Amino acid sequence: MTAAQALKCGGCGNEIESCAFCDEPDCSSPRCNHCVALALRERIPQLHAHGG
Amino acid sequence: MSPRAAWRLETLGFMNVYDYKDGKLDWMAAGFPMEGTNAERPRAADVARKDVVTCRLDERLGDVSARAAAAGWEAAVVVNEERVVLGLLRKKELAGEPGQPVEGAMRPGPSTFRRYVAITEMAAFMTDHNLDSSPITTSDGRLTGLVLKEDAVRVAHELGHESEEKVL
Repeated sequence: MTAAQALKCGGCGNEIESCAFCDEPDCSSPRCNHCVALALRERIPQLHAHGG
Repeated sequence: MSPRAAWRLETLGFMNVYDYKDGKLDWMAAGFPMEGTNAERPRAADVARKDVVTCRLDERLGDVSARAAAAGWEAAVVVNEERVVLGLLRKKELAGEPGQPVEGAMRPGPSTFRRYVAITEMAAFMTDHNLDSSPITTSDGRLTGLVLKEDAVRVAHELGHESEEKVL
């Protein structure tokens, strides 16, 4: 894939190889793994580090 | 729960307290019971169809396609002997050359989603991405079932109506 064809996450703008939700390299609303996990609440945003 | 919460409960007199080190999300992903205001919301695991056709890497694609068609499925999940998801065969892959092994036709390492994902969010994503089916697994990758877009959208729609009725 060339730079011009690079897929970018619609959430954070990071370059990705394929959409982390549908696995398609030509997805019209691509998302990276991190943004999908946050959107589906599979991951909790870490706003700060703490020991508890 | 967190170690601090566990210690606090012991000071309150609870004697049978455990620290689940893998955390709350892992607890929910394993399908353990939940309490609280959101516990009753339908999750991906509630809607996932458990009777999805599964197959092994070394099966012949034509055999799996025939089995899926006979059961009314347009997808099959490739699993190992531990029922860990290794690949996915959607309609396009199932229509491939029937003589080849599943391993050569499948989508390897497909995106999978956890059991506790709210079905409303799953439905919205599946609609947005025009995705007909998504595998649901535990944290260690074992297959729970396959969520179909039509099921997710229907349940999410019914939930929307319930919310409207409560407001009225």
